[in-house]
Amino acid sequence: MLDRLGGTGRVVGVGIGVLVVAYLAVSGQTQALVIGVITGLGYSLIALGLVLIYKSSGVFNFAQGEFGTVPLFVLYLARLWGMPYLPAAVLALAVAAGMGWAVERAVIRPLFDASRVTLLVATAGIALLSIGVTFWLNDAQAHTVDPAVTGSPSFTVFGIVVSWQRFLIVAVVAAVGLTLTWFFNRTTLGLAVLAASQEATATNLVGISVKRLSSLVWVLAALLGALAGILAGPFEPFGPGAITSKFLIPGFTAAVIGGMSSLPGAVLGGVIVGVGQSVGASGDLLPSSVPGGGAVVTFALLAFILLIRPQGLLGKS
Amino acid sequence: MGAIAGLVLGAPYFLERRAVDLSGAVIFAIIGLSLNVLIGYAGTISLGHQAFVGVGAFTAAYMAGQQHQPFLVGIFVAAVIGGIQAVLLGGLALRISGLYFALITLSYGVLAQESLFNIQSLTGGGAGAFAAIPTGKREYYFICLAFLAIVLYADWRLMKTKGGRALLALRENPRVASTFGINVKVYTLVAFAVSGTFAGIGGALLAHRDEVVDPTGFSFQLALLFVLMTVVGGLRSRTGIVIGSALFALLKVIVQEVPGFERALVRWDLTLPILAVAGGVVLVWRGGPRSKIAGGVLAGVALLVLSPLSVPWLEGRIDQIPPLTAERASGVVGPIFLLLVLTRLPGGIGQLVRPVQHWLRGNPWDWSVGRVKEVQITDVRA
Amino acid sequence: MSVLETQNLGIRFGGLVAANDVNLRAGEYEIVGIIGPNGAGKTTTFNMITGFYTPTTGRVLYRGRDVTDLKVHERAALGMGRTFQNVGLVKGSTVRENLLTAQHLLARYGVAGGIIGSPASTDDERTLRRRADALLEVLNLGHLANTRVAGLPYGDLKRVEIATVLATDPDLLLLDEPSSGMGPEEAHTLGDTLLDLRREFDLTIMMIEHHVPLVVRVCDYVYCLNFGELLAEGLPNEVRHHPEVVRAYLGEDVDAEHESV
Repeated sequence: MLDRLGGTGRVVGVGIGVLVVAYLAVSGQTQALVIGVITGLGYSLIALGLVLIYKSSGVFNFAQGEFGTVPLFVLYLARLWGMPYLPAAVLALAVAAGMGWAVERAVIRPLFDASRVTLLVATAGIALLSIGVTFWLNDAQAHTVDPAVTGSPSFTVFGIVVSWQRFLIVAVVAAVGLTLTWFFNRTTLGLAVLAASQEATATNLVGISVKRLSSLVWVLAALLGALAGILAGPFEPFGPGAITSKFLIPGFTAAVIGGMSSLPGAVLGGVIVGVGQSVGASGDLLPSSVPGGGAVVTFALLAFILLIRPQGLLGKS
Repeated sequence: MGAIAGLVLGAPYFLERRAVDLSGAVIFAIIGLSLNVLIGYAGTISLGHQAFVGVGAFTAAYMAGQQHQPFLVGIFVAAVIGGIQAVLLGGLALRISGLYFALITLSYGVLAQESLFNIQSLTGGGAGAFAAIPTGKREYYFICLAFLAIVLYADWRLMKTKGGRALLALRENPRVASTFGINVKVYTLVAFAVSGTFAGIGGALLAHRDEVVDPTGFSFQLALLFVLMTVVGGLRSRTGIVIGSALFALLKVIVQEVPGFERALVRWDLTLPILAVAGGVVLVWRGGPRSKIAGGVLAGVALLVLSPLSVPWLEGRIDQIPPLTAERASGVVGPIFLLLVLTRLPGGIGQLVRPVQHWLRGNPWDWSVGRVKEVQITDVRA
Repeated sequence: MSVLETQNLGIRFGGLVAANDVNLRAGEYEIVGIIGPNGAGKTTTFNMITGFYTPTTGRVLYRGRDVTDLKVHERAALGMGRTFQNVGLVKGSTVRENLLTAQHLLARYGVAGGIIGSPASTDDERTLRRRADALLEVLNLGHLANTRVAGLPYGDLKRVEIATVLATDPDLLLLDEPSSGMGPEEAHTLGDTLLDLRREFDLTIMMIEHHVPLVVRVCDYVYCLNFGELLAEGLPNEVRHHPEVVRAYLGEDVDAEHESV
């Protein structure tokens, strides 16, 4: 039904958004708003990885969260062994890239012709394997990792103190979003990826190796997941499967809300889910006898968008 | 056949101290069968099945703990409530298709764990709900076995009659199914109802076995584990699923009880290279040209690792890695089995069992009976 | 009263008009042919008749009753049976299982009854099985009863599909290119089969076809579609020599006297 609204729908949507923000600001929920936006941007990073893989191969990647947890562990171990931050982070990203490549070669490629549902189950298996291995190698204890940027809390938004680390997330998401959009719209490589996703045989015949492109995409997605893990991980103690349990479902919800084929949509969706969760968890939305408001809102958002506008806010029909 | 029956019925006597785990194996078999109705028969992927089971568990605990109803009444109500909540979720399935519905089930599972199962008045909040075990631990195993028999009978009857045929048709080819007069929407809900009912029974039995039901146990990892054991068991194969589910439930027990197994796991630094050498040799012997090279490399590296040259260098590093206990092993071995099944043995354990069943019916031995080309959850290329 | 009638049937997909003002009619026990070049809208029309597409204009009447708003399975219950261009069967099941599934509406017991194992369900199942085996005999498929559909050769697949659609106990049979993939002899045998089946099962048949000798031999009336519209209608030989029809199949510069479809 919202499909037919088109431009009107966007105006209405933005209008609702403004109203929500205004309401929150006025009613003193500014904390929820700011935290929500920033957590949401973490979801956006995961969502970007999900959309990237979906755009190029139609796969729902359940291992995307683990592309975040494993590098986080590597970062932790590297720091534990005394590496300075930047090389440790680079090492973590490198491990993520390797993991993405390995997953694509060992699992995705053999199942190239299988149904998308089978591939979903396969990626779920990869996620479970990753959780199992990190559980083994790590005693299941919660660890903490220091953030990338420390230093005294630097600026305030709406009266909320925002640490530099949180600001870094915003900056990184912006940079990544712009880069990816440029990549898909302006570079031949990006166009090749899109072409391969729609018509693999023709792309191969033109001389572009679809297999190489597939590896590239998975490495990129793993790097995006790693960024999410490394940047958002330090806020809380983490254990095996940390990024998956906290970020995967909101990440998917964000990707669906934005439109599974829309990169800007992923960013927008992330913010929406983040704010929604924040409002839900704050306890004002639901009666106190019903706990877990964040999960309720996430589910409701997902169901709502799939029933009303399945292609997402910024997706095409 | 007699040997198998003896093993199943006698198990709690041989392994008395494992009676709880054995009951768990039977309960997992029931849960596997319930998930098979959705994924195997109806072709609907469900990643939130732990919610179905949890609903059954908390309902049973509620009936026993707060309403003080007898055990069987609790099980019955849990089954009914399980069916109803499944149908409600199924209603969404009618409007939302394939992969996106999988996301909905995943989100629903988390919703159940974080919200529904924490509502004070129904489940006692985070503290957990209580349900006493009705008999001794060993006898409880037989009670669970009885319910498994009921579920197996119902599943068998379902597939022999129009309901089951309708499900298989709508899974594979909904357009053709509707030309047969099958109301695809109604029968999709029927699948959810049956699945939810079976899962509710499983959950209720679980509640009484553990005597405490706690929301933290119903994580999405459990949901993925359920999918894993159903796929590895082999979709649409009752025998395969019972074996597969029991295997996953008992993985820890098997490792601990079979002599030498645990040792082999703990000394994985020896076991793994030895396996690698064996695997490499097989590849060189049997594989095509590329496999021969890969096999050679694998065996070579493994031998190098084992040789006296590298041992000192590795010795120190290995000690820093935590030991691979039985519990941790199941978390690693399970998913590996899943990935192997998906890529190499699509029919799962069921595919291995079918030649045996074929032969038991008096036919000559035929390796290719029941061979499956691909894990067919649904034919819809979503 | 006609068995099937479409009035002013039309459908557009976005800007594309796939069918417009299609008026067809099939009388009791007639065999009606629908011909036309590829892309003419024949299968689209079938889809509208059977309920897979909702027409943007017009209605579908079955025995005088407006069924335009009924769903596919509801029209099947009224007696519409249909085959598909790429054989419509449950490939993972055996031939007999397909015939049992197709008799879905004839199994009057409830799903729950089936699960419990009620006497009604066992009786009905026995009846269904007998009917299935009888149908297989009629079409010489008895030896394939326990064979999985997936491995069958194409010719057998087509016969199994006919057996399956007959199992739904239809009054009106809509066949989508029943002779596709067949050579002239097989098509001739198919013609015999269709005439026999019409007689034995009291059927009205509407079929999309490309095979001209079959159409001429078997059909009582023929419609020709092109670009989603009715081009010509009439007795098979009239339509076949109709200049518009010839032009549609063979292109613009054709001498109508010397060429015929």
